[in-house]
Amino acid sequence: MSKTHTVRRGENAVSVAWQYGFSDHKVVWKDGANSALRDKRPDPHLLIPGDEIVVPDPTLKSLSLPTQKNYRLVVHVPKQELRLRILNQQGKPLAQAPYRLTVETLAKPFEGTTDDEGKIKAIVPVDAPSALLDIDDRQFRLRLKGLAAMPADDDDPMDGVSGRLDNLGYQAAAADESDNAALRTALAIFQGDAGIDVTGELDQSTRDTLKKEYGC
Amino acid sequence: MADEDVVNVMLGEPGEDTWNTLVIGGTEVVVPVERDSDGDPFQDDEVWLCALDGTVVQRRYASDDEVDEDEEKRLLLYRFTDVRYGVYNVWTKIGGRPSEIARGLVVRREGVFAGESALPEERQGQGAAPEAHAGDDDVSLAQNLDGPTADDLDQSDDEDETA
Repeated sequence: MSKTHTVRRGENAVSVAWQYGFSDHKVVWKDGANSALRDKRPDPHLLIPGDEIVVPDPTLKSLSLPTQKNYRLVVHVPKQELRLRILNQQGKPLAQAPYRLTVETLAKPFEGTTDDEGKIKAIVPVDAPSALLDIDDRQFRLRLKGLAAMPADDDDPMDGVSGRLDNLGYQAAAADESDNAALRTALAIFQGDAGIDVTGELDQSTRDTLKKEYGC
Repeated sequence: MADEDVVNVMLGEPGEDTWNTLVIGGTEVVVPVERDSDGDPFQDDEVWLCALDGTVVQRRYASDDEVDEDEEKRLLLYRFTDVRYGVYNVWTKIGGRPSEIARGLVVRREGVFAGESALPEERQGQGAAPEAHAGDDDVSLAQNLDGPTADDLDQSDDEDETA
């Protein structure tokens, strides 16, 4: 009997599949019952809280093993990649900057320097909820899988837009979350900075530009 | 180490070409304000950088290290650091009452703008707000504007950089 899982903040299709025992999320994501969701959210790593994923019954594996012996059973835990591009306020890459990335479920932190484009890559377990990034005398708590998808229609919340603008350095959040004036203002400033029509609305040009500048 | 910022990011499949871009740091905005704008030479002047919804983003006292003095012009230069791109109003106390002294400062990638004009660079700051004087005709009082509430302003100093 399949189940329907309602996505919460901090989940994507990979982590949802893993919760139900699927190490390969494609088994869940590509299930026919999820075709409408796939049409709406083309990237399984970017969902919106409230999305519903149908989880099929897992296929149980059975093994017959002789007794009186020891066996090592290996479970494949899916890994995902965290990819960051660090820029300064002028939009220039923070190149060759030392960093330390401490993932919550890993004993050993990643340490290194950004590349010439200010980029950092790290392979992290799918069930890691957060990580601490220390760079340039600052500390950031990264909520892994916390970024929402861009809204597909007017019914979708704008969290994916404000999240991207926020990470790009715009004051997109308001004290009162129901007040979207701050988001409209941030959109207008972003549009001006990007050299596109300033409307304060999420039109197609703004959507494309924001995704391109943010990286997803 | 600065306070911890929380950011939401995505994870992807290894080898894909999707990225999370993080812009760190912020613009420095310098607001020149007439010394003793509150009319009380014994009171430490306060200036607030506020978001459009009235949230106090940063506050500075005249005695802070981030405040320089221009003795010739009798001005105090309030430096607000790490200001995110956005639109801000600047408030201070005049005669004991919260008063807006600069409205609609726009912080962009290219610098700080007031209206249509880009403001010149000044000192270390990337942008300097227009000079603000207590008693200017365009100074408005708090109750007429969407500014910080009395509660906002009375909150403890440890809320210095809520955003």
